[in-house]
Amino acid sequence: MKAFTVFLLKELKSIARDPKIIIGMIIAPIILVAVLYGFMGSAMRQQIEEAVRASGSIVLIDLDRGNWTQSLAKHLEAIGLNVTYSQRDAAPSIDEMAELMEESRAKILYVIPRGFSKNLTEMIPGVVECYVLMKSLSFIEMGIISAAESYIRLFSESISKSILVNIGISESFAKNPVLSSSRVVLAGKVFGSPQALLNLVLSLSFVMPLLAVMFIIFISQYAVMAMAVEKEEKMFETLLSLPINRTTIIAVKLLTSIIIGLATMGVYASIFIWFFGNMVSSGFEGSSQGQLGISGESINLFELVKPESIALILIGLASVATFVLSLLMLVSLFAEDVRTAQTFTGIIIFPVVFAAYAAMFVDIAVLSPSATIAISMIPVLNTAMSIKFSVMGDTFLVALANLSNLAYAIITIVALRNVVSSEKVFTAKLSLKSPRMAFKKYKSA
Amino acid sequence: MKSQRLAKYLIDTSLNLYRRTGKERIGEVMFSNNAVVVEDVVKIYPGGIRGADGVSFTVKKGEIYGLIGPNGAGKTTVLRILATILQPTSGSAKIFEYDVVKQPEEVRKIISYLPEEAGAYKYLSGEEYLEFIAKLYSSSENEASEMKKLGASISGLGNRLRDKVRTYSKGMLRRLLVARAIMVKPKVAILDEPTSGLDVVNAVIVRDIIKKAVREWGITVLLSSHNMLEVEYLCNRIAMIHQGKIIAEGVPKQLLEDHGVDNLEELFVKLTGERT
Repeated sequence: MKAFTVFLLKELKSIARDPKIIIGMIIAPIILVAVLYGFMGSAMRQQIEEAVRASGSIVLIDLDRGNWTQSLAKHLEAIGLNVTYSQRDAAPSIDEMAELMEESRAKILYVIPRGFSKNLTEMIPGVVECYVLMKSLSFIEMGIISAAESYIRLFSESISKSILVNIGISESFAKNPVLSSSRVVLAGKVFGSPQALLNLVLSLSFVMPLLAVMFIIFISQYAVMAMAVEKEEKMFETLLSLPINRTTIIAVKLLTSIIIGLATMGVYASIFIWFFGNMVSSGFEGSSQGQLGISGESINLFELVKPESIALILIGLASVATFVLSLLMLVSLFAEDVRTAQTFTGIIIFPVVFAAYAAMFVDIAVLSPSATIAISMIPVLNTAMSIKFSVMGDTFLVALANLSNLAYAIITIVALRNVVSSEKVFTAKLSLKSPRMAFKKYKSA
Repeated sequence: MKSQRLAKYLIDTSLNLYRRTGKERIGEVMFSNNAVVVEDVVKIYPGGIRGADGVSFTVKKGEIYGLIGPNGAGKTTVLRILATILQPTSGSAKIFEYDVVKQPEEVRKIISYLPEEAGAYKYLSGEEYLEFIAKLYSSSENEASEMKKLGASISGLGNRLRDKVRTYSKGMLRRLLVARAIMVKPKVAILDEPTSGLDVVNAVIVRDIIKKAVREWGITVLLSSHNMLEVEYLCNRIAMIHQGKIIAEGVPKQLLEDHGVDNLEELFVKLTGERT
């Protein structure tokens, strides 16, 4: 325990003073997010402001010249829109429309065709042609399309309301004489809001692999070069002869990697929370949330997944992280220098990322039981799938995923321990020149 | 009562030694004057290259023993086997009766190994580096503190010990490393080319440290060098190693007299010339 503490303190001290790690852990994330905030954040805010402003201005081309067109214009003005009205005999060309919208700094143009008022008077639906000028194809501009349609829908609803009042029928009844009350049955439980349930499961399916991948990438940063650093500082040979158990050396290196990984993740998470918090609060100020389709209805995570299942998933995450860490440490043991170690990381990290995101495309409902069991034993993929298994109430698969991850972690740790205890730790080398393991001939004396 | 306790202590110690060594020659083990015993050690690397080819020698307690030979002769291989980094293909090596293959953890507690191309943690100060090593070898804070003080004094680096290791010259780094190897007062210090690449002044300082370690603290030193004149000056006994085999062993002066040569370099040329 004493040697463990002494070595751990030495590791943390060395790392805290190593500019490469300080740059990677703190300075790089701050610069990265500053750049994101400076460019992406302000660009998004400008887009939102522009969209709010542009969707507040409308060009109305009146070919109809009837009463109902006048009513529409008044309705649009009444809901606070700036209307540029133009009476014409013929529909303008596309170029003219674009020019008119540019002049009025509007992104929405309505063309009211001839016979619009006549149709409405004769109780035949009238058609308004909506044109939306798009320039950047951003998701903000997509919102303007729905705004253009919703302005007309509001006018349509106000006409329906007047008609219903005149003939003495309740508006709410006329709109929805038959209602549906949806329920979803999932793993023996009944949920009252299918959309909210779907949103939660989909976001968990995205967040869980993201969490697993981020955690593994961050902890791998140091793990892969942990031993290579000793070689680069020419301390490896000395270290192997010191009165410190070699398993302790590995344990300290693993723990240090986890500490650094969590610290880096913490730095990134704090900066991103601050960044998105600021962007959302400033960008969406003054815009109507209802218009953006944000629903207040939600489902608590614990309604869906039992607390003990969440604990199991977290244990699985820790096991798979230990497994990947040990693999990286093995590479690190054989790598001749830090550069080689980092290059070989990709060989391990790429399948990890692939497996994590493959989970999003796996439909467990169509798989045979044996295929599902096989999937639950594939490391990383099974961790990402655990949330789906838990939601489906399949505790067996969650347990199997955990047990297999634990087994992989133990096997790699034992392999690591055996390598460290033998002379292979010193003689086997991985180098960039020859990707195969080559044995260096020690005949220096 | 005192004599009873002494008798019990001797019996317990003997039994422990018996269990540990598996030998019946308890008295021989207890009163042995040998610090290092290497018997017919062979090391074959992957690819069939022989790093050591039947090496045998014995280092007595409190002496400076030198392994000398040109680059690639097998000196480092033997030292690495004794430092528990490599394992012999055959043969045995023991340090104070601890087998380097079967009891590596015990061996590491009583040796201090200085590799030829050793470094130190560059983001630690010299002082912090000495403290790190001292804490690994000591059983209490006081003992560690004493070791660190001794290390600082041996290194002779003064205030520069507060600076980061990465700012040290090669000579300063080597002095720091020799100091850390000696300050823990190991039973056996294994020093691979301790003065390699050093200027005259630093080489003299390092040699003086080694002599002092033996004189004042009774440390047994096993060192390697390709500088035969240095070894002649430093060592009580030497073994000349060539192509993984020991070709001569003994007290330097005696060897020179026996072969009728003026220095060890001449002896080496004579012996290797006779063999080729």
